[in-house]
Amino acid sequence: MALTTARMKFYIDVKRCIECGGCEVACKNENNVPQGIARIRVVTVNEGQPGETNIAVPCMHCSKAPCVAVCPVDALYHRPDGIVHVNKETCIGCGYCLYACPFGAPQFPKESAFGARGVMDKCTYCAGGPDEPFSEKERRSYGSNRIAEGKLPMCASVCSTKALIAGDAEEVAKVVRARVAARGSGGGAWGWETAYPAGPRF
Amino acid sequence: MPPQMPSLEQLEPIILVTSKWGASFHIPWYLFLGGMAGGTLLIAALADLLGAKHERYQALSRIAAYITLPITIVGGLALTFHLGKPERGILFPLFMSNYRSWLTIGGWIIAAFFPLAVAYAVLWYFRTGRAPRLIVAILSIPAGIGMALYTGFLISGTWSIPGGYWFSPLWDTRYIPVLFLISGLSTGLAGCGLVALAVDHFRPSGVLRRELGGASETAGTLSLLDTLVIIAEGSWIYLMLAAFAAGDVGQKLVYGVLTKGDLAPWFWWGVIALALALPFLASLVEVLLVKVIRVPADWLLYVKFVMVLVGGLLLRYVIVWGGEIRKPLPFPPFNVY
Repeated sequence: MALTTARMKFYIDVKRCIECGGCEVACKNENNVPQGIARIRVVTVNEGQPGETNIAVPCMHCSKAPCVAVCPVDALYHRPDGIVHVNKETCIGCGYCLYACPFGAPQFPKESAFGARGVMDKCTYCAGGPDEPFSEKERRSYGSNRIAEGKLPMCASVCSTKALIAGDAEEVAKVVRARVAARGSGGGAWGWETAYPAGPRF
Repeated sequence: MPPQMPSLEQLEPIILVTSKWGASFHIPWYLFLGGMAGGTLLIAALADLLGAKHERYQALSRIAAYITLPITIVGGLALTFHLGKPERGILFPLFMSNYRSWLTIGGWIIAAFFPLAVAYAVLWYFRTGRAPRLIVAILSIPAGIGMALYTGFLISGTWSIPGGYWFSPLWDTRYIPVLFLISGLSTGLAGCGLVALAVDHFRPSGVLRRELGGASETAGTLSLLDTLVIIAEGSWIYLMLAAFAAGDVGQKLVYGVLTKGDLAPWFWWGVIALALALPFLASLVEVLLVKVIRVPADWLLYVKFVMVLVGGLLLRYVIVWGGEIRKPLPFPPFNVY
């Protein structure tokens, strides 16, 4: 078997999420996320109505990422393993990615009185940043680097119902297929047709 | 049960927005001032070129060139300081490398626009000959149109996204840039008219008085032109809304929020009434007073121009706030499982 680079992906199964908020807390604790910022957030749809559904929304690390396309300074980029990273040293904090992203992943912690917002902060897939792995600078700017340690993102590690699964796209797809087969119906991924349409809009 | 129109607060938790463009004054004011600056520079150039033969409209060109400069500077400052790192934004030729992004293209449009605006004002101030001014005027036409159009393209950056997919249905590349160009022209005319009226009213002594002697007549011409532009703007907004009303899920949502939902008071009173209907009405009354009853009605022109300016600003606010409305990511329907 030829060795190919993994494409790291998240999979969130809305039929399994119980809105415990474990992923939110684990993420904040692991990455020292700035106040007011949620790199992953559990969203509830149709709350209090029949068919109430919950879903955790991190950065989806899209293969064709709209944020990467619109960033004027190329602060957003794909790592070889498909993880979308932001370089906080080059980000100018314009907020354009916020409007391009269908999931609302980019957020802007305000750090100083200068400027209307801070530089962009988002889910790093627990893979740190462009700085040297395990360095103090990386830890302060981006949080932990569990991928370099050979571990999975913290949110996926703590998910009690395995609604949130992370890893190589091939392995994740196997889990989805197994669940679809067991249920006899859809994979429970959220908004896929809208966020990743088959063809161009125009 | 008829579908309920969701309020913006209800849409909020899904889109996880913590730092919107509409949350501070910077971006709406930049879009307003940038569009207006594009309009005024265009007016300065066109007045200069069209009046070249008979020395007409020269006072208008001068007013327009003068007011372009402060508008551009204030708008540019608003744009720069909305950034998280303004110091990196100012050095954009060094940092901005993604030439597929409208922000980068717009940075260069402003970089071309600003020296032209400065040059035009300086050439008028020092009254150098016609020849250098005409060169600047010819260059200013594409720069002015580009500036006003860019403010629209900035917030509808569809084409830079793979597959051309954009999740803010209101920020539609097909409607917003042209709307902002028309509105920029309208507010530019109103700004020029307001300054012409004020100069005429206060009669400053010296050079300005001689140059702008016929400012009151100029304001009348500007008011007429503005009325024509307002009709075009109203038609364009009607086209846009008609397309949204017949569009996909996200566009229908935008149509609902604009006309019946949270943004409806701002849209109907701010945009439709202040920017379009009331100025049009003011023009009709003004014509009636001046032409039929024969009483001077300069105060009505003041009111009209101020309404157009405030309406233009509120249009930018409505469009920026409306950008928070995302195309809903449909949840898996219950019957699938």
